Amino acid sequence: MSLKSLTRLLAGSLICGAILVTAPAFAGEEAFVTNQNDDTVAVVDLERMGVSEKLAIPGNPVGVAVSRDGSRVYVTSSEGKTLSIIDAAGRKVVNVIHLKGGPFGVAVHPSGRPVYVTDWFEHRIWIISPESGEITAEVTVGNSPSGIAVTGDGSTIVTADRDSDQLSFIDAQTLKVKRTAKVGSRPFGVTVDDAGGRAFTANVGSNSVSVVDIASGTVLAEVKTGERPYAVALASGKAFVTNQYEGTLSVFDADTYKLAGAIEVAEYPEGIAASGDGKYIYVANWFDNKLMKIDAVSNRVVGVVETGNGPRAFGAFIRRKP
Amino acid sequence: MQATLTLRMTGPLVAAALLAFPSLAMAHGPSRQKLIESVEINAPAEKVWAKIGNFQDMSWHPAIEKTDGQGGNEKGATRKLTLKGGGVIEESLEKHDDGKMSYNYRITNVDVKVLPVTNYSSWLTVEPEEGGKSKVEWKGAFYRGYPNNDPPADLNDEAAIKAVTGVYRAGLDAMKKSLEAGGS
Repeated sequence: MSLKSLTRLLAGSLICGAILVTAPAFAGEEAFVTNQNDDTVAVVDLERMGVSEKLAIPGNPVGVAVSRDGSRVYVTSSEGKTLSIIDAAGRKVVNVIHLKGGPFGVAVHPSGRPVYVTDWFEHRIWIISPESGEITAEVTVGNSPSGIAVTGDGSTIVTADRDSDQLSFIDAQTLKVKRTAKVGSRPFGVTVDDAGGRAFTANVGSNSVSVVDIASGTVLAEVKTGERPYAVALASGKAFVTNQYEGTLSVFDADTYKLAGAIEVAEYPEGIAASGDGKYIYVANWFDNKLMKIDAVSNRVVGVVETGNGPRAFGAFIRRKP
Repeated sequence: MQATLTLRMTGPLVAAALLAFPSLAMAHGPSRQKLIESVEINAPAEKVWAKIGNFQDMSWHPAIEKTDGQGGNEKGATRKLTLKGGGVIEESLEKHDDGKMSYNYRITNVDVKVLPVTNYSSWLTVEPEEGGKSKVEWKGAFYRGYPNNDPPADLNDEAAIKAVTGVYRAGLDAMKKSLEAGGS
């Protein structure tokens, strides 16, 4: 056996090992993937990379947020104009809230309530009680808010206001917009780095990611990406960005903002999220209907599964099983 | 229909849409559409690719009057398609791979009266099949023509899918007919 083929064999077994390894003490994680083009949410077991369940969610499901305790999953339907509340363990829809405008991005407060939904068309966010299903307040933000996130301490809500080229920072207590920050052109997904107090937003129009200090609203960096970046995930000290038009992820160092390579994925990568331990990145490829698992250290694709038609998984779609 | 992409004029609704969003070339509805159409051709893949693989020549499509462009088959190349019966579509080349017999392009400029879509990108791929046959796949991703909520019927998701399906079928069917008749 040549050295080359031995190396290949070893690399192969490492990849297999990464897929097959099971940790009995750890219940594991699963993904709730919105399939926008076939009106379903696929529940994916991330250990074996297999679909364990499909839930019918009508009206083009797009945005998704899993509560921190893993009990609830919230899904927006952009055409149906609804927020569906899913009992994650029971695998069933327990409430459907009818909204107006264009419900899109969704996030949950770390305490489990309330739930925040962006309105793509009416330039506001709804504050919704998950128990009663009532809209308790609305906050006007910039134009076409798309992505939304909440800081880990629960103090601040961040929206990416796509058609105003800005982020809005909202006090979660008073529901007042504390400040806005001008970013690149057409920010879409937004991800919060709790430790550093930074927001990372993907600028679809300027092919870049803006990194913003949440406390001051200062733009710390604007990092070049591939074509039409969609969203950002943070893991292993790196930022991973889905480039819709290139079928790649841009990878950069989350502290120095230096580019650290690119990863080939499939066509139209969109929703992206990190595992709880930061070892893996999961990417929904909208055109090719595939969810990919990527080793966040080696940048290698280590698993793939077909989820359904048009996976977007826009939001925090990973659930840690209790 | 075979030979035209042009939709009927939609009058005040289209005008209103364009007036309301004059500068928002990137504005779009909330749900991107996808479409995959294919055809099997009784001709070797190399021969099919020789006919359709040149980004600067779309004469194989029956709706195209002429193709003007620059940059050959390099990334960033552009072409302007003039349609029979009027209307133009401007496109740019994103990827071109003779080895994989595939190219990927985008529409950079089109009036929704010509084709009711926005943010359109597409792939055209030839795959060899057994027995000297081949399969051509044409894939598209796009949003409807009306960027705001509650679109009029002629600019909604269904209208976009119907129009692009018509374009793809007309092209693929003509390609098959021509190549199987011994054309090149």
